[in-house]
Amino acid sequence: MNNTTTTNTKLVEDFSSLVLAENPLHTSFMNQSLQSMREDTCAELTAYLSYCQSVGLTLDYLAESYNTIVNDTLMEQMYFEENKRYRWSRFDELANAVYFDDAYMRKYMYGLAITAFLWPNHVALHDFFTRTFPRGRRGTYLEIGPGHGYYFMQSAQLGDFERLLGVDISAASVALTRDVIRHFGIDKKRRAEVVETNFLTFHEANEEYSCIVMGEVLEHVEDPGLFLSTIARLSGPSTHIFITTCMNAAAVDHISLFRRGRDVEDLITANGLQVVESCYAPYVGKTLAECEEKSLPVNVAYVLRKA
Amino acid sequence: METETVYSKLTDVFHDVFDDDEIVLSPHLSANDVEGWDSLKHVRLLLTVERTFRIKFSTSEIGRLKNVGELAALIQSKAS
Repeated sequence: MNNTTTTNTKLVEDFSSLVLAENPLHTSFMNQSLQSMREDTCAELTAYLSYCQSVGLTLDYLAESYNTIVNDTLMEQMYFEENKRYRWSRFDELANAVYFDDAYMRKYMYGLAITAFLWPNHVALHDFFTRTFPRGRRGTYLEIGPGHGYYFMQSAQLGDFERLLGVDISAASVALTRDVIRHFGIDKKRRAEVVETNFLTFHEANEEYSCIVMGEVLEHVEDPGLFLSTIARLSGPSTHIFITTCMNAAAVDHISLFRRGRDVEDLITANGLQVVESCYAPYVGKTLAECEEKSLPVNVAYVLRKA
Repeated sequence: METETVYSKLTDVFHDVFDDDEIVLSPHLSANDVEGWDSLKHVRLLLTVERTFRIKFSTSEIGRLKNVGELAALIQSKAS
């Protein structure tokens, strides 16, 4: 085992030890994740943890952030299991407790970023993202809801955009993504900016983007169709569009419930977009049909184009 | 509620949720020791415990649980 592999694994192991010290019932899940983790995923997680440390965050804080999302999601899953619906259905019911609570939102975003490497479904969607991304794509990149900024960073590295733009309603998310831009020097060779605003009311002179990414937004908004139709309006015939969402997957800020893949695909089609390719990640060990029948969680990603 | 009663009812809950009458509860038993104890089963376990004992857990309470012993102690503190 070479030194690099040892270092990578040690940081990840230290992180997981801190998580499990406070959340021992998560041990089985964490062990399975680590045992099945690919070397490249481990390297990415290590790089992300190292980046977080370089901006002044401790591993304890990151472990606490991860546990926050694990435990809060568990409570919402319990509610969903009992009631077969998400707890909230309106943005204003949770906005102050989540998006506009800077301290909570930061923890939530760091924790969520880490799940991209540890939760099998999130890993699958991330793999789909990198596999389908148009390498070297030029033009202007738009990300709606960059959140933790990790996909924003990767898009900057995989593409060759003249300009990258992120739009997010959360001040905490805007700050996190700006941190990523600065740390990785994304704005050294091209324009890269993040705007704090409601995407639906954001207008720009340049209204056609070469690549649009919107991860984990549709389930957070009251009118997901409007987000999709706005994306269609901002797209040209060759715009690469990548979105992710989920079905039957409760979380503290999920308000639009999709129960079946067909629900999402019909919404896509009804709003001026077409599915080019999809990646469904059902609950581990279950099929998509089982998940739809039993209201079990499914994560899904789509590559779309303007219809 | 007596400890013995808690464990007796909790045993029934585990047998029901995991569909396994062979499970024997001990204070140190944890998710690592029970086959199939994944996040979905964990949700169902906690919900069944809430219904059986007529209690409600908070996020901070369930986040700190280490094993069945701590779950039983928590139930005992909340159940009348």
